[in-house]
Amino acid sequence: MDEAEVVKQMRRTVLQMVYTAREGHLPSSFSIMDLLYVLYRDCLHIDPHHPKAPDRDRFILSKGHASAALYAVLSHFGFFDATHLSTYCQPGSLLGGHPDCQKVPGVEASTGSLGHGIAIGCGLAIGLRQQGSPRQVVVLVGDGEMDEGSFWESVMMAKNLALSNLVVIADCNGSQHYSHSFDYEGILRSMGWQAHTVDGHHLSELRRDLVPRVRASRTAPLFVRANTQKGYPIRRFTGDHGWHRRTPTEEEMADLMAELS
Amino acid sequence: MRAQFAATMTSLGSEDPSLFVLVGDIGAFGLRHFAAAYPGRFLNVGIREQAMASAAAGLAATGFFPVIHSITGFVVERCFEQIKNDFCYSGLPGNIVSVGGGIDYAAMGCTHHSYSDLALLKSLPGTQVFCIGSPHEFDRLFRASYRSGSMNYFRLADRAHGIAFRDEELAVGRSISVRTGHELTLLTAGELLTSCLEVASEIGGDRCEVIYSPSIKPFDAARVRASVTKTRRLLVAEEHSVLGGLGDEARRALDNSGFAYALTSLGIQDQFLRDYGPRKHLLEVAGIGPARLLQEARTLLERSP
Ligand SMILES: Cc1ncc(C[n+]2csc(CCOP(=O)(O)OP(=O)(O)O)c2C)c(N)n1
Repeated sequence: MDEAEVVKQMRRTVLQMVYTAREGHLPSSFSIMDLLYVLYRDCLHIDPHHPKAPDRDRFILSKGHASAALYAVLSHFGFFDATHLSTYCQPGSLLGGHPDCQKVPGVEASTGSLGHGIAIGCGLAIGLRQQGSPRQVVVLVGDGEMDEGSFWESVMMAKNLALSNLVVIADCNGSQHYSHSFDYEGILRSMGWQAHTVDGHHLSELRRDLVPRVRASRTAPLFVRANTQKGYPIRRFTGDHGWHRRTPTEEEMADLMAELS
Repeated sequence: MRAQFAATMTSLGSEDPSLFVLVGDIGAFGLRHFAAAYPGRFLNVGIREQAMASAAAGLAATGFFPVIHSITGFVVERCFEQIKNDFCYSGLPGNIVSVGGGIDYAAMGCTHHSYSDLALLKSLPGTQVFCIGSPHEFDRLFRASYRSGSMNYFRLADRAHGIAFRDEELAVGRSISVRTGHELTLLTAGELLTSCLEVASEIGGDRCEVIYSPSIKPFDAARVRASVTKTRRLLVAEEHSVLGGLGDEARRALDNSGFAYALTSLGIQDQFLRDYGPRKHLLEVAGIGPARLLQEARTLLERSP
């Protein structure tokens, strides 16, 4: 199966999970699917069979409402069995609407309330550095999430502490109306971070532009603006906030599956 | 319930040019009519709850009566200190309307549950706290209090209990006797009223008295005391931590009452409800499902106080 097909299959998995559970955030999940795939396949050093091994990179999905995408990717890469996916949001499941770090193998932080992930990431980065670990801390945030004050407190903390082992990737799908207006790349650079922009849906470009930058040794924290489309590649998800937490009807489900085949 | 929130805002907005509504990227669609009618008095401040809370205090200081709205955890728990200093300590009037209190967002996990909101806000001087279970309740209690000068908190349940009250029954600091009985008092707030009434009918006759108390602070201690004086048995059911909720209010109401009584307080014990699934399921996990209420009511009825 070619790679694009693999990621498409993951989107179908996510769609099926959300459809079955009648719960979840499809557009927010779809906009980070490609990023998550490349991160776990090519970038992060985390052993799926030893997800707590001290010598691992740390990844935090700070926009925890996109948990379905994370679960599909974690299961694809062997963190847990795919049978769990069909239990998403059901009684007894490991997998809830937002991820629980005490339940899900590979989940580092119980996110869901926006604006926490980057600050937890700062703490992880400080701790790892103190222990002399060469590992990276990668935090994926939403651009709307960057509204939060705690985000900017952390940006300044990371600069002041020169947390060169911290990477923040912003899923810039432009869905939150205030977030459009800022040149985040320029702002972060002016605040002492390294900053770059990538296309968040282009697998080979991500591999070329994102992966080496995350792996490279740096003197400052790294900010990556990923230009994405909310709900990609489903047209009707983009620009229609009504889909943010809506689940498809049976008819819509058939259409959506067709669009993803 | 959310529709009533929007309707009350729109209707009051036309009567009162000092009503100002702020949301944190939640509920903006529901409030679109208010926003369209009074664009200068509506703000979607974005996902910036703490700044929203303090900005609302600033608005209050210029003479507006602000309403801030978001999901319970984000507008209450996250903004607790802003509410404490900028409203309560500063003596400024304000209103918080939250959705998703208790375990309404059942399958979303604990970041989206809040069973500490009532206790937190109750503990601040200068607050009034309401646990709302029907649209009518919201409309009445909001209108009665939003200009009172207090910091008023309204937790809106997702589902309404469906019981109709008369206008005059819905007042700040008053509870309602929904059903009268002689042997056991059931005390509750919010949507759990439905289950309490089911328990009362299941037990039958006039054995159970059901008191409904959307006004958590100020609390109608007198009615609870009067009822338990008669029944000598009290079962409290709340979608909130047992630490600092309705059960604690009832206990304080009965302090030094000078008679013996039996009390069972059901709520969320000192634990996170980590399971998922529908709200009904989580209520069962928490030990406040209908079957558990019935069982505890029967146990109490067998006890002589
Ligand atoms: C502190 C906090 N406030 C509000 C919310 C409710 N909420 C969930 S998703 C969302 C929008 C997030 O936008 P963005 O970060 O851009 O992610 P997207 O869904 O667009 O991918 C909001 C406001 C939340 N989860 N946490």
